[in-house]
Amino acid sequence: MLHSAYPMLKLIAGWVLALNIGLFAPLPAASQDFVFGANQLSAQISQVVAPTSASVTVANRSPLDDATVASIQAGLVQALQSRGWRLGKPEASEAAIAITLGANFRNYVWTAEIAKGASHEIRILELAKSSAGRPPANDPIAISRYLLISSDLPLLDVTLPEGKIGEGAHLLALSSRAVQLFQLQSAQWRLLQTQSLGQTPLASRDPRGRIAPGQIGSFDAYLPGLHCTGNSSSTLTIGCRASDDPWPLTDDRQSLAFYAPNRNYFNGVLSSPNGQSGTVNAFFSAAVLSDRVIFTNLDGHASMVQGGRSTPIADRWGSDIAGIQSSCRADLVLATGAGDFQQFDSLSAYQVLNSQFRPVSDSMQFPGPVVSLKTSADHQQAIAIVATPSGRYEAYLLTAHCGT
Amino acid sequence: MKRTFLLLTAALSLAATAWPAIRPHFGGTLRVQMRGAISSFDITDDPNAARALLRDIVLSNVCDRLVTLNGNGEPQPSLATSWRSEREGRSWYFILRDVPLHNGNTLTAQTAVTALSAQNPEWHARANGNELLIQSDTPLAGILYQLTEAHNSVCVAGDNGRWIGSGPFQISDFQPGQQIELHAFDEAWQGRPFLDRIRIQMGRSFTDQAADLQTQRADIIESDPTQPRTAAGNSSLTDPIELLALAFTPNHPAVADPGVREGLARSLDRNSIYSVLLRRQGQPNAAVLPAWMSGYDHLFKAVQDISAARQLRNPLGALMPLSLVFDANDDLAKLVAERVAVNAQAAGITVQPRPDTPSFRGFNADVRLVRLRLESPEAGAALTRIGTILNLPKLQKAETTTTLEAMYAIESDALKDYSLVPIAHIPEAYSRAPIVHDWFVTRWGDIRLADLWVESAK
Repeated sequence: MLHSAYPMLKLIAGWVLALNIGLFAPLPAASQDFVFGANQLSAQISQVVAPTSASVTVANRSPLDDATVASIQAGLVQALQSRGWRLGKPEASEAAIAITLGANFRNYVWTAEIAKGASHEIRILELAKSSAGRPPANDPIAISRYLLISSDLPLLDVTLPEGKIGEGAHLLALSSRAVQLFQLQSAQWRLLQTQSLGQTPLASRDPRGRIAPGQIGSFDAYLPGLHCTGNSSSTLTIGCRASDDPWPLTDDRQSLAFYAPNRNYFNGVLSSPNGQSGTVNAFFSAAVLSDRVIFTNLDGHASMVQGGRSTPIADRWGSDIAGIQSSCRADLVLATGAGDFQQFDSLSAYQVLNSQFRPVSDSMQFPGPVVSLKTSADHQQAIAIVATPSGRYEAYLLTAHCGT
Repeated sequence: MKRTFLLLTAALSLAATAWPAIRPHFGGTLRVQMRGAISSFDITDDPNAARALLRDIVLSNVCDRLVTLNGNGEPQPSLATSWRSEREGRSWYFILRDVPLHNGNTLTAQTAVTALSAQNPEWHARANGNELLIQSDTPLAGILYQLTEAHNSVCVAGDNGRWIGSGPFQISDFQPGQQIELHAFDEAWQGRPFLDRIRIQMGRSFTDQAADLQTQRADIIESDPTQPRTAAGNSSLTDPIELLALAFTPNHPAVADPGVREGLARSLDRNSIYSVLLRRQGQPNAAVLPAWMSGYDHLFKAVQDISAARQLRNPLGALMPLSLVFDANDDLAKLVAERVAVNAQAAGITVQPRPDTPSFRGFNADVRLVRLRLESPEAGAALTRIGTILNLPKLQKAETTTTLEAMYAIESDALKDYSLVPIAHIPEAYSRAPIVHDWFVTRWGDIRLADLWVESAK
């Protein structure tokens, strides 16, 4: 079901389409932030000066390497042209656009000076330094974890509605009975409100659930046989109804799959925001990469689907996987260990190379099983829920960094 | 894959890396020398960077603040254990920690109200039990960063105004302009510092400091950032955190015409000052904030334009010579002032550099060469403080802004009339003896002496 709050998603080709006809064009390694930045800056430029003929210069004052700068420059030119700017030499142009790629100690800072006749406009764009450094692709990956919350309630999933952590940021936690709203105050997550679901999901010995952020404080929660919609912008409200709507596999909601309500897996029927569908083998979880999707199947093996073709993966992983981007590597798969739920768990990052996956990080140990693992909306992080031996549930934010 | 021994191994390896190779030793006296000198305990901002540095080091080790910064420059609880805001940032509530003060009393919210109200008259602060409420008519977007600044230290005035706080050290001896001695505070709420005592000699020239470090009569010195690092000890350099600028005195007839100010600004050869006088340390800049803080400083053009300067100056006819005052104890300021005079002469503007003396103070001069210490790495808080120190209300508007684009607009507007002309940003430099361990200075120049220790007692 397409949520009405996400019309923009209609613009994006669904992953099912990619699975079937191989539509996904491989993205340049770890350049998604800069593509976004180029589009944002070109939009801001076009807002202050109507597109016309212009010359463009790009100067770099940041630590970015030459290859990255060249890639950003190409992206900027493309983004401006797509908005109607006719780019050429200064002597044949009405306007001059001088773009500088700078940085302060926290963020990248891109500035645009737009001169046209007597007018001189300036626009400034800040981009998080999550992509800082961009060391060589052979650098090892280190996974860092940040404990979001620890709860007595059996957590099924958590999400960050604002997509980031900072003073005042919110966190929504889903359990089988309630949704809890937390806020980061003085570097601590404080519980603001607990709202009962009002309905009980179908019973399961391995309960699962998904909560995904929407726009302007809205969110959706999915539990076996239930679909709940709510809002957390002022007070926490939620309403649930019996439903078999497909669940989002990542917080950006571009990948939807139908959950088998009396089991603990997805039945293999896929959907997308634009209404397209497809079918794969039943699976526990999926890692959505830029040009392929990895599934952990019920037989304990994983498979990779690319361009409509499914290939088995030799590596023995746990049931839960997620795809994330790092600052130096695109398309990493985070995979849990292959032990059972009574044991400690581990998590490692893998990179695909010529259809083979190789570990690129040390394994991270957890005191109990990872019971949920999903990709954040910006694909830069993953959220893991761990059931500890003490009976508490812990939610971690996982990030892949370059270098050890 | 999931065996217990892996956890044990991980725990052991963590322990091995987390524990220092040599555990800190308690005891000993740290001998510090600094260029700045204070003759009283004045907590207000100081336009003299050398004095401000000395004041900040003493304050940050004697008095705590409600909020502190972590290594990434993000606000963390200190005296305030938690906080929340209401009315879109116009009301801020802080829950205070129960901590002992050097005088045997316990910190109260009223103590914090008194301290913060004195420094921030535009804030309306009041206490309610252990809660402190700060209100303002405008949103205080950057209040958490402002509360980390030295002038917002929570101190009580003791004998002769001596600072009494909750910090790891207490002031035990003070000889105005000469020396200040700090003793370890055993009941410090964050734990007793390793050092027994810190003795700070004030008003020492760079040359004397370097000589004393070499002859082991000093353990930590403030060194000249424009000189090669000394070989006698270990050296460290901050990011550029001092603003070197020309500040025109309001209402002085000689500089009342904006053409004079802009003409002087355009005559400046910042690159030459940076290359020759600063020996390529820091950054030539026409912006108030350095690149590492704002990232947009390049939007302020710093290129010398003598032709434009002349075009601005020529229509003004005969001009009175402009007096330019600089800190008499600052050799670098003297050199820069002289270079400014040379640049200005090329544009037909006569500038007469003069040292600051009891008979000729800064406010007597048409222009002051100021060196301002930027206390906060946060752009809004830093702009606000500079606005307060130099009495530039346009810069103080940064207190209510959060976006970089808004900061740029404020900075640009404040510099438009050329009453403040930035020249460069300069780092701070330190050298230390090999016996000093666990020395750490943040990129914005914050030094915590409580975590430092020396190898043997003297």
